[in-house]
Amino acid sequence: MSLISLIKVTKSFETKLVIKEASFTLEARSVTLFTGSSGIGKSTLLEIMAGIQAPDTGIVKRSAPISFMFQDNALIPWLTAEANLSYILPKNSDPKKWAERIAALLDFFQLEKGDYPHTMSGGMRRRLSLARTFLLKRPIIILDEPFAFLDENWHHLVSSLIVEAYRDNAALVIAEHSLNPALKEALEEKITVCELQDSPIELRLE
Amino acid sequence: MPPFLKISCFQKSKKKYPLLKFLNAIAPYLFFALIWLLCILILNFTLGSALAPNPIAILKKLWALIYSTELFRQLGITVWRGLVGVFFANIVGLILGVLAGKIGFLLRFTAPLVAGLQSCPPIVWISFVMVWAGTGSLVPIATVFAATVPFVFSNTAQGVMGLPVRVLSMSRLYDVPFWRVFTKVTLPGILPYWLAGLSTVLATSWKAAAVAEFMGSQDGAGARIYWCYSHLNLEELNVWAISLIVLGILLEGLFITPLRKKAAQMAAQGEACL
Repeated sequence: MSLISLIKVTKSFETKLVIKEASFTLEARSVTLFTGSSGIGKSTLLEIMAGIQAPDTGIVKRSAPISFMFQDNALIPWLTAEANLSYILPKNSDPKKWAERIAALLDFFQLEKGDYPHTMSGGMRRRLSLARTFLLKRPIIILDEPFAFLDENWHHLVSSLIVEAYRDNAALVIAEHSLNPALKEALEEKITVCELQDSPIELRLE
Repeated sequence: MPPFLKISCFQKSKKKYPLLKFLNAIAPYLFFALIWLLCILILNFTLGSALAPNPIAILKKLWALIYSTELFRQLGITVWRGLVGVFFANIVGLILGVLAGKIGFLLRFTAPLVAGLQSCPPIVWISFVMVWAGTGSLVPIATVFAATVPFVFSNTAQGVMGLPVRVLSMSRLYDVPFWRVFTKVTLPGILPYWLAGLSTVLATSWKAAAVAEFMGSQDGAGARIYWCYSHLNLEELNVWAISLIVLGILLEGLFITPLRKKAAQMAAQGEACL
Protein backbone atom coordinates (compact mmCIF):
# COMPACT_ATOMS: atom_id res chain seq x y z
CA MET A 1 0.00 0.00 0.00
CA SER A 2 1.40 3.38 -1.05
CA LEU A 3 1.51 5.88 1.83
CA ILE A 4 3.32 8.73 0.08
CA SER A 5 3.64 9.32 -3.67
CA LEU A 6 5.78 11.99 -5.26
CA ILE A 7 5.11 12.41 -8.97
CA LYS A 8 7.57 14.50 -11.00
CA VAL A 9 8.22 16.93 -8.15
CA THR A 10 10.45 19.93 -8.85
CA LYS A 11 11.69 22.45 -6.33
CA SER A 12 14.07 25.38 -6.66
CA PHE A 13 15.23 28.17 -4.36
CA GLU A 14 15.51 31.40 -6.37
CA THR A 15 17.71 30.33 -9.29
CA LYS A 16 19.06 27.11 -7.75
CA LEU A 17 17.25 23.97 -8.85
CA VAL A 18 17.34 21.50 -5.93
CA ILE A 19 14.93 18.75 -7.00
CA LYS A 20 14.22 17.94 -10.63
CA GLU A 21 11.19 15.82 -11.52
CA ALA A 22 11.63 13.45 -8.58
CA SER A 23 9.26 10.51 -8.33
CA PHE A 24 9.04 8.33 -5.27
CA THR A 25 6.60 5.92 -3.65
CA LEU A 26 6.67 4.98 0.02
CA GLU A 27 5.16 1.63 0.94
CA ALA A 28 4.01 0.51 4.39
CA ARG A 29 6.51 -1.48 6.49
CA SER A 30 9.59 -0.18 4.72
CA VAL A 31 12.73 1.74 5.56
CA THR A 32 14.19 4.09 2.96
CA LEU A 33 17.44 5.86 3.62
CA PHE A 34 18.55 8.86 1.58
CA THR A 35 22.26 9.52 1.82
CA GLY A 36 24.27 12.36 0.37
CA SER A 37 26.46 15.31 1.17
CA SER A 38 25.30 18.46 2.94
CA GLY A 39 23.24 20.90 0.90
CA ILE A 40 22.26 18.40 -1.77
CA GLY A 41 18.55 18.75 -0.92
CA LYS A 42 17.79 15.77 1.35
CA SER A 43 15.93 17.89 3.92
CA THR A 44 13.95 19.67 1.20
CA LEU A 45 12.92 16.31 -0.24
CA LEU A 46 11.79 15.06 3.18
CA GLU A 47 9.92 18.27 3.95
CA ILE A 48 8.09 18.10 0.60
CA MET A 49 7.07 14.51 1.44
CA ALA A 50 5.71 15.69 4.81
CA GLY A 51 3.95 18.75 3.39
CA ILE A 52 6.10 21.23 5.27
CA GLN A 53 7.30 22.69 1.98
CA ALA A 54 5.29 22.86 -1.22
CA PRO A 55 6.84 21.77 -4.51
CA ASP A 56 7.04 24.21 -7.43
CA THR A 57 5.57 21.62 -9.77
CA GLY A 58 4.51 17.99 -9.46
CA ILE A 59 2.07 16.09 -7.28
CA VAL A 60 2.43 14.84 -3.69
CA LYS A 61 -0.09 12.36 -2.33
CA ARG A 62 -0.25 11.32 1.32
CA SER A 63 -2.64 8.74 2.72
CA ALA A 64 -1.59 8.57 6.37
CA PRO A 65 -0.51 10.94 9.16
CA ILE A 66 3.21 11.63 9.51
CA SER A 67 5.63 11.98 12.40
CA PHE A 68 8.55 14.17 11.45
CA MET A 69 11.87 14.80 13.12
CA PHE A 70 13.19 18.19 12.09
CA GLN A 71 16.86 18.70 11.34
CA ASP A 72 16.82 21.69 13.74
CA ASN A 73 14.59 19.85 16.25
CA ALA A 74 11.82 22.53 16.24
CA LEU A 75 11.44 22.32 20.02
CA ILE A 76 9.47 24.90 21.95
CA PRO A 77 12.07 26.77 24.06
CA TRP A 78 9.75 27.84 26.86
CA LEU A 79 8.18 24.41 27.46
CA THR A 80 9.71 21.65 29.57
CA ALA A 81 10.73 18.32 28.02
CA GLU A 82 7.46 16.76 29.21
CA ALA A 83 5.37 19.68 27.91
CA ASN A 84 7.17 19.56 24.55
CA LEU A 85 5.98 15.97 24.20
CA SER A 86 2.42 16.47 25.46
CA TYR A 87 2.08 19.49 23.11
CA ILE A 88 1.53 17.19 20.10
CA LEU A 89 -1.03 14.89 21.74
CA PRO A 90 -4.27 14.54 19.74
CA LYS A 91 -7.18 16.86 20.49
CA ASN A 92 -9.40 15.73 23.39
CA SER A 93 -6.95 12.97 24.32
CA ASP A 94 -6.64 12.07 27.98
CA PRO A 95 -3.22 13.33 29.19
CA LYS A 96 -3.23 10.75 32.01
CA LYS A 97 -3.50 7.98 29.44
CA TRP A 98 -0.43 9.32 27.66
CA ALA A 99 1.53 10.13 30.80
CA GLU A 100 2.93 6.61 31.05
CA ARG A 101 4.18 6.57 27.44
CA ILE A 102 5.71 10.06 27.80
CA ALA A 103 7.45 9.00 31.02
CA ALA A 104 8.73 5.82 29.34
CA LEU A 105 10.13 7.75 26.37
CA LEU A 106 11.78 10.37 28.61
CA ASP A 107 13.27 7.52 30.63
CA PHE A 108 14.47 5.72 27.49
CA PHE A 109 16.17 8.90 26.22
CA GLN A 110 17.53 9.73 29.71
CA LEU A 111 15.82 13.10 29.89
CA GLU A 112 14.41 14.92 32.92
CA LYS A 113 10.77 15.88 32.45
CA GLY A 114 11.24 19.35 33.97
CA ASP A 115 14.28 20.39 31.91
CA TYR A 116 13.95 23.18 29.36
CA PRO A 117 15.53 22.90 25.89
CA HIS A 118 17.78 25.92 26.51
CA THR A 119 19.38 24.12 29.45
CA MET A 120 20.05 20.97 27.38
CA SER A 121 23.08 19.99 25.32
CA GLY A 122 22.79 19.49 21.55
CA GLY A 123 22.57 15.72 22.05
CA MET A 124 19.82 16.01 24.67
CA ARG A 125 17.75 18.26 22.39
CA ARG A 126 18.19 15.69 19.63
CA ARG A 127 16.97 12.97 21.97
CA LEU A 128 13.95 15.04 22.98
CA SER A 129 13.16 15.63 19.33
CA LEU A 130 13.42 11.86 18.70
CA ALA A 131 11.17 11.15 21.69
CA ARG A 132 8.51 13.45 20.24
CA THR A 133 8.78 11.78 16.82
CA PHE A 134 8.22 8.29 18.23
CA LEU A 135 5.49 9.34 20.70
CA LEU A 136 2.37 9.03 18.55
CA LYS A 137 3.24 5.80 16.67
CA ARG A 138 2.07 7.19 13.33
CA PRO A 139 2.20 5.02 10.19
CA ILE A 140 4.80 7.26 8.52
CA ILE A 141 7.95 8.36 10.35
CA ILE A 142 10.37 10.74 8.66
CA LEU A 143 13.71 11.35 10.35
CA ASP A 144 16.05 14.11 9.19
CA GLU A 145 19.54 13.16 10.41
CA PRO A 146 18.44 11.29 13.56
CA PHE A 147 22.01 10.36 14.57
CA ALA A 148 23.45 13.88 14.48
CA PHE A 149 24.90 15.06 17.84
CA LEU A 150 24.54 11.54 19.31
CA ASP A 151 27.34 9.21 20.35
CA GLU A 152 27.73 5.59 19.20
CA ASN A 153 25.82 4.12 22.13
CA TRP A 154 22.81 6.24 21.23
CA HIS A 155 23.11 5.17 17.57
CA HIS A 156 22.31 1.61 18.67
CA LEU A 157 19.42 2.69 20.90
CA VAL A 158 17.87 4.89 18.19
CA SER A 159 18.33 2.08 15.66
CA SER A 160 16.43 -0.25 18.01
CA LEU A 161 13.51 2.22 18.05
CA ILE A 162 13.56 2.37 14.26
CA VAL A 163 13.45 -1.45 14.11
CA GLU A 164 10.56 -1.49 16.59
CA ALA A 165 8.60 1.01 14.48
CA TYR A 166 9.33 -1.06 11.36
CA ARG A 167 8.00 -4.18 13.09
CA ASP A 168 4.85 -2.20 13.98
CA ASN A 169 4.30 -1.77 10.20
CA ALA A 170 5.48 1.85 10.03
CA ALA A 171 7.05 3.25 6.88
CA LEU A 172 10.26 5.10 7.69
CA VAL A 173 12.18 7.62 5.61
CA ILE A 174 15.59 8.67 6.92
CA ALA A 175 18.10 11.22 5.66
CA GLU A 176 21.76 10.84 6.69
CA HIS A 177 25.15 11.69 5.26
CA SER A 178 25.94 7.96 5.01
CA LEU A 179 24.57 4.61 6.15
CA ASN A 180 25.10 4.45 9.89
CA PRO A 181 26.77 1.13 10.93
CA ALA A 182 24.36 0.74 13.87
CA LEU A 183 21.35 1.12 11.57
CA LYS A 184 22.87 -1.26 9.02
CA GLU A 185 23.46 -3.82 11.75
CA ALA A 186 19.91 -3.48 13.09
CA LEU A 187 18.02 -3.60 9.80
CA GLU A 188 20.39 -5.57 7.54
CA GLU A 189 18.78 -6.15 4.11
CA LYS A 190 15.42 -4.56 5.04
CA ILE A 191 16.68 -1.06 4.35
CA THR A 192 16.54 0.58 0.91
CA VAL A 193 19.51 2.89 0.53
CA CYS A 194 19.24 5.64 -2.03
CA GLU A 195 22.47 7.53 -2.62
CA LEU A 196 21.90 11.08 -3.77
CA GLN A 197 25.11 12.11 -5.49
CA ASP A 198 24.32 15.03 -7.76
CA SER A 199 22.35 18.20 -7.38
CA PRO A 200 19.60 18.67 -8.48
CA ILE A 201 18.11 15.46 -7.14
CA GLU A 202 16.61 13.37 -9.93
CA LEU A 203 14.89 10.57 -8.07
CA ARG A 204 13.14 7.59 -9.69
CA LEU A 205 11.91 5.27 -6.94
CA GLU A 206 8.43 4.12 -7.88
CA MET B 1 47.96 42.43 49.56
CA PRO B 2 45.12 44.34 51.24
CA PRO B 3 41.75 42.70 50.55
CA PHE B 4 40.25 45.75 48.86
CA LEU B 5 42.89 45.54 46.10
CA LYS B 6 41.85 42.04 45.12
CA ILE B 7 38.69 41.73 43.08
CA SER B 8 37.82 38.32 44.50
CA CYS B 9 38.17 39.62 48.06
CA PHE B 10 36.11 42.68 47.20
CA GLN B 11 33.34 40.42 45.90
CA LYS B 12 33.44 38.43 49.12
CA SER B 13 33.25 41.61 51.14
CA LYS B 14 29.98 42.47 49.35
CA LYS B 15 28.42 39.40 50.92
CA LYS B 16 30.00 40.03 54.28
CA TYR B 17 29.17 43.73 54.56
CA PRO B 18 25.60 44.51 53.46
CA LEU B 19 26.06 48.09 54.71
CA LEU B 20 28.93 48.57 52.25
CA LYS B 21 26.76 47.17 49.47
CA PHE B 22 23.94 49.55 50.45
CA LEU B 23 26.28 52.58 50.52
CA ASN B 24 27.68 51.53 47.14
CA ALA B 25 24.14 51.45 45.71
CA ILE B 26 23.02 54.82 47.07
CA ALA B 27 26.30 56.66 46.38
CA PRO B 28 25.24 57.96 42.93
CA TYR B 29 21.95 59.26 44.37
CA LEU B 30 23.72 60.99 47.26
CA PHE B 31 26.21 62.49 44.82
CA PHE B 32 23.48 63.98 42.59
CA ALA B 33 21.51 65.16 45.64
CA LEU B 34 24.66 67.02 46.68
CA ILE B 35 24.96 68.57 43.21
CA TRP B 36 21.30 69.67 43.42
CA LEU B 37 21.96 71.15 46.85
CA LEU B 38 24.93 73.12 45.55
CA CYS B 39 22.99 74.39 42.53
CA ILE B 40 20.03 75.51 44.64
CA LEU B 41 22.37 77.28 47.07
CA ILE B 42 24.12 79.12 44.24
CA LEU B 43 20.79 80.11 42.66
CA ASN B 44 19.45 81.18 46.06
CA PHE B 45 22.52 83.33 46.56
CA THR B 46 22.42 84.90 43.06
CA LEU B 47 18.64 85.17 42.34
CA GLY B 48 17.31 85.58 45.86
CA SER B 49 14.87 83.44 47.86
CA ALA B 50 11.77 84.54 45.89
CA LEU B 51 12.97 82.86 42.67
CA ALA B 52 15.19 80.18 44.18
CA PRO B 53 14.12 79.12 47.67
CA ASN B 54 16.70 77.74 50.06
CA PRO B 55 16.92 73.98 50.57
CA ILE B 56 15.60 74.15 54.16
CA ALA B 57 12.36 75.77 52.96
CA ILE B 58 11.98 73.15 50.21
CA LEU B 59 12.56 70.29 52.66
CA LYS B 60 10.03 71.83 55.09
CA LYS B 61 7.47 72.02 52.29
CA LEU B 62 8.28 68.44 51.31
CA TRP B 63 7.69 67.29 54.88
CA ALA B 64 4.41 69.23 55.07
CA LEU B 65 3.13 67.60 51.88
CA ILE B 66 4.23 64.15 53.09
CA TYR B 67 2.66 64.71 56.54
CA SER B 68 -0.64 65.79 55.01
CA THR B 69 -0.47 62.82 52.55
CA GLU B 70 -1.16 65.32 49.76
CA LEU B 71 2.09 64.33 48.04
CA PHE B 72 1.07 60.67 47.82
CA ARG B 73 -2.52 61.49 46.85
CA GLN B 74 -1.49 63.67 43.92
CA LEU B 75 1.29 61.31 42.74
CA GLY B 76 -1.16 58.41 43.13
CA ILE B 77 -3.66 60.19 40.88
CA THR B 78 -0.96 60.68 38.21
CA VAL B 79 0.24 57.07 38.39
CA TRP B 80 -3.34 55.75 38.39
CA ARG B 81 -4.25 57.76 35.28
CA GLY B 82 -1.07 56.53 33.58
CA LEU B 83 -1.89 52.91 34.41
CA VAL B 84 -5.49 53.19 33.17
CA GLY B 85 -4.21 54.60 29.86
CA VAL B 86 -1.59 51.82 29.64
CA PHE B 87 -4.23 49.18 30.40
CA PHE B 88 -6.48 50.24 27.52
CA ALA B 89 -3.48 50.76 25.22
CA ASN B 90 -2.45 47.16 25.91
CA ILE B 91 -5.88 45.73 25.15
CA VAL B 92 -6.19 47.61 21.84
CA GLY B 93 -2.48 47.31 20.93
CA LEU B 94 -2.37 43.55 21.59
CA ILE B 95 -5.47 42.76 19.53
CA LEU B 96 -4.42 44.96 16.59
CA GLY B 97 -0.77 43.87 16.89
CA VAL B 98 -1.63 40.15 16.69
CA LEU B 99 -3.82 40.82 13.64
CA ALA B 100 -1.14 42.93 11.95
CA GLY B 101 1.55 40.33 12.69
CA LYS B 102 -0.59 37.63 11.08
CA ILE B 103 -1.70 39.72 8.09
CA GLY B 104 1.42 41.15 6.45
CA PHE B 105 -0.62 43.56 4.33
CA LEU B 106 -2.16 45.17 7.42
CA LEU B 107 1.29 45.75 8.94
CA ARG B 108 2.68 47.30 5.74
CA PHE B 109 -0.44 49.42 5.37
CA THR B 110 -0.32 50.79 8.93
CA ALA B 111 3.49 51.17 9.14
CA PRO B 112 3.63 54.89 8.12
CA LEU B 113 0.75 55.77 10.45
CA VAL B 114 2.34 53.92 13.40
CA ALA B 115 5.72 55.57 12.75
CA GLY B 116 4.00 58.97 12.69
CA LEU B 117 2.03 58.28 15.87
CA GLN B 118 5.14 57.04 17.71
CA SER B 119 6.95 60.31 17.10
CA CYS B 120 3.88 62.50 17.67
CA PRO B 121 4.26 64.81 20.71
CA PRO B 122 1.59 64.33 23.44
CA ILE B 123 0.60 68.00 23.11
CA VAL B 124 -1.37 67.10 19.96
CA TRP B 125 -3.57 64.60 21.84
CA ILE B 126 -3.91 66.89 24.84
CA SER B 127 -5.23 69.70 22.63
CA PHE B 128 -7.78 67.49 20.86
CA VAL B 129 -9.07 65.84 24.04
CA MET B 130 -9.36 69.20 25.80
CA VAL B 131 -11.41 70.56 22.88
CA TRP B 132 -13.67 67.50 22.73
CA ALA B 133 -13.95 66.50 26.38
CA GLY B 134 -12.93 69.52 28.43
CA THR B 135 -10.62 69.09 31.41
CA GLY B 136 -10.42 66.26 33.95
CA SER B 137 -9.15 62.69 34.17
CA LEU B 138 -10.02 61.91 30.56
CA VAL B 139 -7.27 64.23 29.25
CA PRO B 140 -4.30 62.40 30.83
CA ILE B 141 -5.85 58.94 30.34
CA ALA B 142 -6.58 59.56 26.64
CA THR B 143 -3.14 61.16 26.16
CA VAL B 144 -1.35 58.18 27.72
CA PHE B 145 -3.49 55.82 25.62
CA ALA B 146 -2.71 57.66 22.38
CA ALA B 147 0.99 58.01 23.22
CA THR B 148 1.51 54.35 24.15
CA VAL B 149 -0.80 52.30 21.92
CA PRO B 150 1.55 52.52 18.86
CA PHE B 151 4.40 50.99 20.94
CA VAL B 152 2.26 48.06 22.14
CA PHE B 153 0.94 47.56 18.61
CA SER B 154 4.34 47.53 16.86
CA ASN B 155 6.04 45.37 19.52
CA THR B 156 3.21 42.83 19.46
CA ALA B 157 3.25 42.70 15.64
CA GLN B 158 7.04 42.17 15.72
CA GLY B 159 6.55 39.39 18.28
CA VAL B 160 4.01 37.61 16.06
CA MET B 161 6.34 37.90 13.05
CA GLY B 162 9.24 36.61 15.15
CA LEU B 163 7.41 33.43 16.20
CA PRO B 164 9.50 30.31 15.45
CA VAL B 165 8.38 29.28 11.96
CA ARG B 166 9.60 25.69 12.38
CA VAL B 167 7.56 25.26 15.56
CA LEU B 168 4.47 26.49 13.71
CA SER B 169 5.23 24.03 10.87
CA MET B 170 5.60 21.26 13.45
CA SER B 171 2.25 22.26 15.00
CA ARG B 172 0.50 22.00 11.62
CA LEU B 173 2.15 18.65 10.91
CA TYR B 174 0.86 17.16 14.18
CA ASP B 175 -2.59 18.85 13.82
CA VAL B 176 -2.14 20.67 17.14
CA PRO B 177 -5.45 22.45 17.98
CA PHE B 178 -5.56 26.22 17.39
CA TRP B 179 -6.14 27.11 21.04
CA ARG B 180 -3.13 25.05 22.16
CA VAL B 181 -0.90 26.72 19.54
CA PHE B 182 -2.19 30.14 20.65
CA THR B 183 -1.64 29.58 24.37
CA LYS B 184 1.57 27.51 24.23
CA VAL B 185 3.38 29.10 21.26
CA THR B 186 1.85 32.38 20.11
CA LEU B 187 1.33 34.11 23.47
CA PRO B 188 4.65 33.01 25.08
CA GLY B 189 6.44 33.85 21.81
CA ILE B 190 5.05 37.38 21.87
CA LEU B 191 5.82 37.80 25.59
CA PRO B 192 9.49 38.97 25.33
CA TYR B 193 8.54 41.58 22.72
CA TRP B 194 5.50 42.66 24.70
CA LEU B 195 7.53 42.99 27.93
CA ALA B 196 10.14 45.09 26.10
CA GLY B 197 7.31 47.28 24.78
CA LEU B 198 5.66 47.46 28.19
CA SER B 199 8.86 48.80 29.75
CA THR B 200 8.93 51.64 27.19
CA VAL B 201 5.21 52.24 27.64
CA LEU B 202 5.48 52.44 31.44
CA ALA B 203 8.37 54.88 31.17
CA THR B 204 6.33 57.04 28.79
CA SER B 205 3.00 56.78 30.60
CA TRP B 206 3.58 58.73 33.78
CA LYS B 207 5.51 61.46 31.94
CA ALA B 208 2.68 61.85 29.40
CA ALA B 209 0.13 61.81 32.24
CA ALA B 210 1.98 64.58 34.13
CA VAL B 211 2.21 66.77 30.98
CA ALA B 212 -1.50 66.23 30.23
CA GLU B 213 -2.40 67.14 33.83
CA PHE B 214 -0.29 70.28 33.55
CA MET B 215 -2.48 71.47 30.70
CA GLY B 216 -5.87 69.94 31.23
CA SER B 217 -6.55 68.70 34.78
CA GLN B 218 -7.45 70.09 38.18
CA ASP B 219 -5.48 67.52 40.17
CA GLY B 220 -2.50 65.20 39.90
CA ALA B 221 1.22 66.03 40.10
CA GLY B 222 1.20 67.79 36.72
CA ALA B 223 -1.74 70.00 37.73
CA ARG B 224 0.05 70.89 40.99
CA ILE B 225 3.13 71.93 39.01
CA TYR B 226 0.93 74.22 36.90
CA TRP B 227 -0.60 75.69 40.08
CA CYS B 228 2.86 76.31 41.61
CA TYR B 229 4.07 77.89 38.36
CA SER B 230 1.02 80.19 38.06
CA HIS B 231 1.28 81.21 41.75
CA LEU B 232 5.09 81.43 41.68
CA ASN B 233 5.25 78.98 44.58
CA LEU B 234 8.86 77.89 43.97
CA GLU B 235 9.16 75.86 47.17
CA GLU B 236 6.32 73.53 46.22
CA LEU B 237 7.42 73.51 42.56
CA ASN B 238 10.78 72.12 43.67
CA VAL B 239 9.01 69.51 45.81
CA TRP B 240 6.91 68.26 42.86
CA ALA B 241 9.95 68.25 40.57
CA ILE B 242 11.93 66.18 43.09
CA SER B 243 8.94 63.87 43.66
CA LEU B 244 8.50 63.18 39.95
CA ILE B 245 12.23 62.42 39.56
CA VAL B 246 12.10 60.05 42.56
CA LEU B 247 8.94 58.44 41.13
CA GLY B 248 10.78 57.94 37.83
CA ILE B 249 13.74 56.31 39.60
CA LEU B 250 11.41 54.01 41.55
CA LEU B 251 9.44 52.99 38.45
CA GLU B 252 12.69 52.36 36.59
CA GLY B 253 14.21 50.29 39.38
CA LEU B 254 11.11 48.37 40.45
CA PHE B 255 9.39 47.69 37.13
CA ILE B 256 11.04 48.96 33.95
CA THR B 257 14.58 47.54 34.38
CA PRO B 258 13.36 44.12 35.66
CA LEU B 259 10.90 43.94 32.74
CA ARG B 260 13.65 44.72 30.22
CA LYS B 261 15.97 42.15 31.81
CA LYS B 262 13.23 39.51 31.77
CA ALA B 263 12.43 40.26 28.12
CA ALA B 264 16.13 40.00 27.12
CA GLN B 265 16.52 36.79 29.15
CA MET B 266 13.48 35.17 27.52
CA ALA B 267 14.62 36.19 24.05
CA ALA B 268 18.10 34.75 24.69
CA GLN B 269 16.62 31.47 25.97
CA GLY B 270 14.49 31.19 22.85
CA GLU B 271 17.42 31.86 20.52
CA ALA B 272 19.65 29.40 22.38
CA CYS B 273 17.70 26.38 21.20
CA LEU B 274 16.29 27.43 17.85
